This record gives sequence, structure tokens and C-alpha cells, in this order.
Amino acid sequence: MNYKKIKCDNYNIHLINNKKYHNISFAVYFADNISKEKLAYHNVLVNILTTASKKYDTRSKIVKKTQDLYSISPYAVTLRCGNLLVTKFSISILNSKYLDKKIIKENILLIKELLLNPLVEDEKFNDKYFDLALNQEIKKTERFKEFFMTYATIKALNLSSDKEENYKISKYIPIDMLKKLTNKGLYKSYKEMLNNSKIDFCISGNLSNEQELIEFIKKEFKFTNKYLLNEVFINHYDKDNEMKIQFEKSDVEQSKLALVIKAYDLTDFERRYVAAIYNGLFGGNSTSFLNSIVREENAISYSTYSYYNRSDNIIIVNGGFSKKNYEIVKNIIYESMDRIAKGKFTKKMLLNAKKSFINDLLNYDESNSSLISFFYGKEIFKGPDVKERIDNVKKITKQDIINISKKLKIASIYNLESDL
Amino acid sequence: MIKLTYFGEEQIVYYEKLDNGLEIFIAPNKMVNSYRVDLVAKLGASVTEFIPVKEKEYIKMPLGTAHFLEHKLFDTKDGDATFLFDDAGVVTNASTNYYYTNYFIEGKKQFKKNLNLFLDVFYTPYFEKDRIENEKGIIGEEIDMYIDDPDWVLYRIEKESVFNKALKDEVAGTRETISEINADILEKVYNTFYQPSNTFLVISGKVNPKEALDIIKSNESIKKRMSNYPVIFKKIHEDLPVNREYGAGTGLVVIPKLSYYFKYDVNEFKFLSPEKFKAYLNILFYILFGDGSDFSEKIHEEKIANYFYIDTMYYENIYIIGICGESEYADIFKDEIDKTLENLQINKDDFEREIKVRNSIIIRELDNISDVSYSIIRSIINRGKYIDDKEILDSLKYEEFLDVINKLSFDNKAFNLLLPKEKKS
Repeated sequence: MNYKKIKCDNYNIHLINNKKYHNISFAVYFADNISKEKLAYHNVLVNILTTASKKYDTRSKIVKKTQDLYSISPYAVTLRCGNLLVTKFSISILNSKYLDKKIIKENILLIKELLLNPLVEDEKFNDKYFDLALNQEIKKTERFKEFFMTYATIKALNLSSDKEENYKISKYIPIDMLKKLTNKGLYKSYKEMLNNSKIDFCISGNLSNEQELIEFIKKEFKFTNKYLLNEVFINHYDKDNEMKIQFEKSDVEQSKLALVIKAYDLTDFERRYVAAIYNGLFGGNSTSFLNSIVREENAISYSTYSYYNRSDNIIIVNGGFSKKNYEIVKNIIYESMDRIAKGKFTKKMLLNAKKSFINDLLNYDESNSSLISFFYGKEIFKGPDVKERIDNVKKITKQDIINISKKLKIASIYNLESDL
Repeated sequence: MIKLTYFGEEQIVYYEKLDNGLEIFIAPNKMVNSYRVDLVAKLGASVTEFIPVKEKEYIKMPLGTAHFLEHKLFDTKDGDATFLFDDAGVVTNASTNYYYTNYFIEGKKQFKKNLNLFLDVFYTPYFEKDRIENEKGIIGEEIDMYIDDPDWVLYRIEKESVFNKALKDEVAGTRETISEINADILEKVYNTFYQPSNTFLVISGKVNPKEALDIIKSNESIKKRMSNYPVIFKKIHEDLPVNREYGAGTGLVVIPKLSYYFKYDVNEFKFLSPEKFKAYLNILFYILFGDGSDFSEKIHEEKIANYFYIDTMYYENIYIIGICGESEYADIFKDEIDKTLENLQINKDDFEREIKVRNSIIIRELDNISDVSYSIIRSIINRGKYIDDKEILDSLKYEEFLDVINKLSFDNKAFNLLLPKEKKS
């Protein structure tokens, strides 16, 4: 595998040349500073841009074109990454071994068509498609109440602070806000995405003629963007706030718990490595405290686990269990944190958490899309290469875990309680 | 070892059947860094009555036993083997459906050690009373978790509509049925259905086939297992007509969910193999209702449904295909499907495009070791043997497709609806 970063006038091209896979992945990333309104508009934008363009004025025409190119339909997604909003347009192209070499360029041109030649008139998108895309966003927000654990988690995050903070911005935009979005506003947001974002092109696969591909992208994509990105990581400054607890009655058979733990004043090393290993030990692995005690010892939950969001500096615990066991589960969570803080865990547990993290790291090249995610992540998070990351994880000591425990604090608990 | 193909010569699959009846499939891929081993027992939740090996009478197994066994198979005298695999940096998981139980490990290093450990755990069961009792609490919570899942609730309604006798029970059982499970029944079920001759092994990824086969052949745990005893269980015969044409229920949904299924016997056309019949049916539905179809365009543009997708179910010779989705206009959605099926608009370009799509899907599967393993498992379970999907694809012809769809009926169908709790009608 050979990685190259080519700095062009207004964007980077990341070439990940490898002969491992039967496809080639192509992606364009736009990174901008986050705001709730911007995310709302981008949610609609990724839908509308992949539904129609001037040349392909229906979704059906786009799909048939990609099928003719042996590709998977163009995919677009927008998501918050700490303080940033990252919007990605991608396509998966079948390896040229099976097809005419021109097919790579044709696929790239298809992405260009969707991205830069949208169905726009009078500085707004086609009204019908705007209405449809907005309606789908509204339905998405209505539907999210069916995902009870996600619902509880978003509620817990909202509860964790009284202020408007970026980590509370979820992909489910409130309906009242969605209804205020306008077609003109969407077009403005689209232009801002092109003009105010950091832009990166990523291509991974068997690239037989790199230079030709670079020149082709340079020729086809010209931007005049200028950007100033905020720090990606979110820091918290409310350590003195009291923990908040809220219960909501629901028709669910099983209560759904979400608990938010904030991390304060972490060093870069702690944020990148120690917090992840802490999480593995706490509730991220099958041998973790939460899985071992809640599930295996007490048999009161099928699944209670934690995950660490590095860019938000937050650990979230989720669990589903019978209503009567809320206090037991809550106490196990408290006791587990306390035990880790006092160093009451074995060397083997620490080693397992490290092994699991290292194994995940080593999966970075298991597909072209994971290679792209890895190298784009490196670009955004300014992270080191895999070897250095593994070496850093290996350095983590028991004392590091004890030290980081002192920087963690439960901010909120939200329990969607069975009312049956 | 016999050489089989996967998408022609793109991927070789080595096959060997041991004297004890264990079938082994190995799909080496030098380009990846990981290996995956799947061990599959031909026991699913559709089995409810069987004759234990060396016995003569049928006995019933409590509903949820196959799934319960899946939860307990990693128990060893020294504790939960999951921890041993964690120590080795290996990912493990398992799942049960109506037709089989699947266990897998995925790792990067120490193939020999981890394969041996996996085989030892799989072929050396350990059922301990207290741990069985403990597991009932965990599985009880798993059952409650499913009850809160609207898709699972709709699936229950769908099964009730489409099937007369088969697949009536839930894979995990109920809190009541699993309370009856004990070490004795688990042992009988294990000894009958987990004989090497009723299990098979699929290995994919970074592996040397000869080395893998040598490890398997010399594994002591497999050698100790009794095998090649007949596996006798009661098969439910499913009738072709659907149980009911309309099924409805309520669940924790905000927007109604629906499905519309069409039920067929895969042996319906004597001139077609079951595999070709299923392939033609799938192609037809993807042309008519897939992303890019006129139907899809109309449904989205007129906001008739928020989303929809094509789904299939099967049981023995029965194959069911349908459209599932979310809509506040269920009647209109159903009418549009009926209208599309009444007035079939098919052309050769659409057919050839679908063949292209299917070829491209198989080529992409080659890059993912779990996709390759799953594809082999699916073939063995559904077809009774491994068949390269490309062989089936290459045998499809447009003229034959037209002939099939002209003879096809869409009358044996069931429409299902999951409504928000307060809107029950």
C-alpha cells in the first residue's frame, strides 16, 4: 500500500494505492465549523444532491447510470465531528481489471455532475425536490422516537448542560427548526459548503496511473474556497455543575438508560489513547466491568455497555433492563468507576482493553472505505500513523488509568422507564 | 481437497469431507490480514421435536432451546471461553435463526492456537446447572429488548399472515418456555445436532488451506465426538396458501410500518431449478420495485411512503418475496404495488442491468471475508450444497425470464400493518 497526499491549489488529494481489493473507493469531503442550522441544511443537501442534477433530473436516472457503470449508487452523508461538520460524497467503483479503464473517470464525472451541476434555478433548488427532501428530514425526526436507546441518549446529552453546546447537536433536527428552512437558504448553504470548507479528495484502490488521475481531478474540480476551521475536539468547562437525573415514563417493555460522563482537562495523550483504554476496561469490551458484572454476574441485562466519543470528550453508558433493576445497574456503574479509580483491576483486564483497541486499529486497511476513513481521520484529527498509535497504547500504565479517572464526572442520567 | 470456485476463478474454495462427516470449506485470501472461522450447526428454532441419538422416542424441546444452547456453548470448566478469546485478541460471536446456529471467530494472529481453541470449545460442551439458571435472566432481558423493537413486532405479524404452520414460534422463545430448559435437554440436543456430521466449518481470509485442514484433522475434541448418527426431527409441512391476506397489530411506532408479501413454491415450474426460480423472482422485484424503478420514483415523488425495501423469507420449498416500508397511506401504497404487478413493464435493458448489479455485488463480496463466509453458509443451508452464485447468474436468460413472469401469479399474498398504539383500527 502506498499513500500520497497531493496539495493542490484549494484542496488535497489523498491517493491510497493498493492492490488488495476488487473495487476503488472515491470520496470528496467538505469540513466546516458546526452549527445546528448548518447541519439541518446539510441533511437536506446530501439528499437533494443525490436525487437529481441538471443532466440526470430524476433519482431513477442517477441509479440507472451508476448501475450501467457497475457501481453502487453515489452516497452522501453529513455528520458532526466534534466542533466540525463533515459532509462526504462517495462512490464505489468496480476494479478496472474487470472493466474499461475509462470507467473510473466516468464515475468521478458522475460525482462532479451531482456535486457541481445541481438542479438549480434562480439561486434555489428545484422546488419539488426541496419539498421532498425536507419532508424526509421531518419524518426522520418523527421516527427517531422509535429508537429508544438513541432517544434516551440524546435526552441525556441535552440534560447534561443548560447551555447551547456543540456536543448536544444531534443529526435529528427539531421539527420546528426544520420547518423554518427555506429553499433559498439551502442554496446559500450549498454555496457556503463549496466556498467555506476544507476540501479533501480521497481515492483508494488499484490505481494504475496515479499521475493521470491527479491531473484529471485537478482539471475537473476547481474551487475558490477559503476556510478557518475551529479546533475539532470539544472541551468541557462545567466540572462544578451538579449531576442531573431525569426519568420519563414510556410504554417500553424494558427501561432504557443513558448516562453521560464528561472528561475534563485531558492531555492530548489521554484524549487519544488513555480514555479509550479506560472505556474498554469500564464498559467497552466483553471482559469489561459493566459486561462482567451487569450481564454475566447479575444476569439483569442482555446489553449494558459504554462507548467513548473522542471528539466530544464524552463517555456514554447505555443499558436495557427491567424497571426494578434500575438502582442495581446504576450502583454497578458507580462502583465500577470507583474500582477503576482505586486501581482495583487486574493487569490482564488492562491488557485485554489494550489488545482490543490495537486490534481495532489494525483493521484500518480491511477495506478501501476503511483506508479512506483512516487517512481522512488522520488529516482532520492530526493523528500519527498506526505504528505510533500502537506504541502509545502499549505505554499506558495502571497509573494513567487511575489518573484519568479523576478527570471524569457523571454529568447526567436519563432513564426511559417502563410504565407497564 | 476438492477445488470449487467462487465467482469463477476469482476465489478458490477448497472442500473436504472428513470420515466423521464434518464438511470443511476453505476460501483463502492472501490480500487480507485477518482470518475468519465459522462453525455452523444445522439446528435452528424451527426444530421443536426430535429423537435424541441412541434413543427411540421423539421428545419435545422447549421453545428457544437452540438459541439457549448458542448462549451456553462457550461455557467451559474454566469459565466463559469468550474471555480466552479476548485474551488472544480474537473477536467471537454467535447467532441463531430458524435454520441454523452459527458461531465465528475472527483474528489476525495465532491461527493454529485459536482454531484449536475454537474447535475444543465447540466440540466439548459443558452444561452447569447454576450457569444455566443465570443465563435465563440474560435471555429474558434479550426477549424484552426484542419486544420494544417495532421491526420485530411487525415480523411476528408477517409470519402469522404468511405461514400456516411453520416459523410460528420465536427464535429466543419466551420467558416461560426458557424456564423449562435444563442441562439434560441441552445435552440431548447437543449430542444429536452438534455431531460433526451435522455441522460444517467455513474458513476464509489469511489462511493456508493445507495447514488448516491438518489442524482440524488432528484436533482431539473432534475425534472424541460421536458422529454419523442419523439426525431425526419432525419437519413441519408448510402449505402453499397464505394463512391470511391481511394482518395488523400495534406497536411502539410513530409512523405505520407495512409489508406486502407474495408466497411461492420454488418447484412451481418443472422446467426451472429452485435456484433459477428464486433468481428470476428477485430480478423481477428489483426491476419493478428497486431503487431506480418507476414505482420508486412515483412513491417518493407523491410522498406515498417514507422509505421501502425488498425483503425475502424462506422455509423448505417455500419462498416469499415482498416489499416492506413505512407509510401513512398504506392503502395507496398497496394499490400501487398491485397496479405495478397487474401491468408488468419489463425490457431487456432492465434485465441486463440487474444481472450487471448482481455480478458486481458478488465481486465486491470477495473483498470481505465475512461476506464470503456468509455466502458459503447461505448456499449450504438454502441449497443443501455449495453452488457458485455466478453459475446461477450465467444460466439466466431473458427469454426464459419472460416466460416465467408471464406464468407467474401474484394472488397468494399477505398485507401487514403495524400501527401506532393509539391508532389501532
